[in-house]
Amino acid sequence: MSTVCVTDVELVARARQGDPAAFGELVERHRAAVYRAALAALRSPADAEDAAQDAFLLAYRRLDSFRGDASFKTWLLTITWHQAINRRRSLSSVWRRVVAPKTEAEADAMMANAPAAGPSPEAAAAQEELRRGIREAIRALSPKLRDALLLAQAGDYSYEEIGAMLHAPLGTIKWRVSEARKMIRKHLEAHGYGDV
Amino acid sequence: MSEELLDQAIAEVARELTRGEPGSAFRAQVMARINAGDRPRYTAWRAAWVLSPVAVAAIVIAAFLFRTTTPVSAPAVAVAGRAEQARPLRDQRDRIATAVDSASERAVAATPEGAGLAPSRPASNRVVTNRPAARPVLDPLAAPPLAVASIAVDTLAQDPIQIERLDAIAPMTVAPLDIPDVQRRDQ
Repeated sequence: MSTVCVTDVELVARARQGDPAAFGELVERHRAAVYRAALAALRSPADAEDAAQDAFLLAYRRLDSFRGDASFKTWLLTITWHQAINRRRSLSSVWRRVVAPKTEAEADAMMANAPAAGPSPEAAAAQEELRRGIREAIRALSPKLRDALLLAQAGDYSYEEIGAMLHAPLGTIKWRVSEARKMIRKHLEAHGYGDV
Repeated sequence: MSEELLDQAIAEVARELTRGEPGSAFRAQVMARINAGDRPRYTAWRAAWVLSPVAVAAIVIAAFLFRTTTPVSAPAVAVAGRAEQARPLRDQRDRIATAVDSASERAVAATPEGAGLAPSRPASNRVVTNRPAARPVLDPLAAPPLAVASIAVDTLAQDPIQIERLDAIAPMTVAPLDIPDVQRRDQ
């Protein structure tokens, strides 16, 4: 049966009745959003993929508890965020970050090697310098501000969905995003990144 | 740089940090894990944080229960032994208590209530005397009699300290000064 025009709720109902293909379709629809949420929390692609898989597994096991108060995506993202935060807090994850902090360094290098959009080499170098400063500033943010900013800028989630994930009201999420931007600007000023 | 451009740069960098997609085999891997009955790996970690205080509380409660339900411990035996030693004292106390009881019963019988002429007071108003039933609770606390001999102190056999007598010093005679005080000050 085709699942292209089927809603999430219908797929959930089918999955509950034991249709694995229906759940597979849900995985396909939401895998990118789930993965990026995990990536925002963990900042490591490998960890993010593991956390995303765990989130789908947990969602499948708890499918009966989905009441439909929120959308399936919101419910799934909440599970994903819990999984990712559990992983982030775990000792092994901390240890990995201490011993081999290469995932962030690799990401930085990958972004630095991306073709610059500036018209001249000087302008491109200046822009790359600024981007590096912003990356540092984002890393220096408190987890609450950083999580809100990354989720808000990822483009996959509404503020309501972010609020559900972070268990915070809409206003708080907006304030955190705004505060994160302010802190980044301060960081750039303090580190002399041009006339910011 | 304008605020708008900076915000745009921040948004771009933040988006880069969350850019990406899981591998192409992601769906297949998830479905394989579901079919294999696999469990999420990181649920146990949180459970450990929740369960460890519960486990500690359970151990404390178990230890407390074990202590309270243990029939006879070594200190209890020692206390019982001391109570056995204190039996003569207890017997004496019992005799006094019995005498007091019988005296008070006679006194009660002499009253109209005691003679059955008036309604008796409720049990809660009665004077509670030192009944033997209360003894098992109090007896272990009774101090054992001292069976130690009194301390005997020997007399000191040493002679008192002899102090040598100092030689007598002859008194010094000082001749009075010839010069008056005023002159001495001027000099």
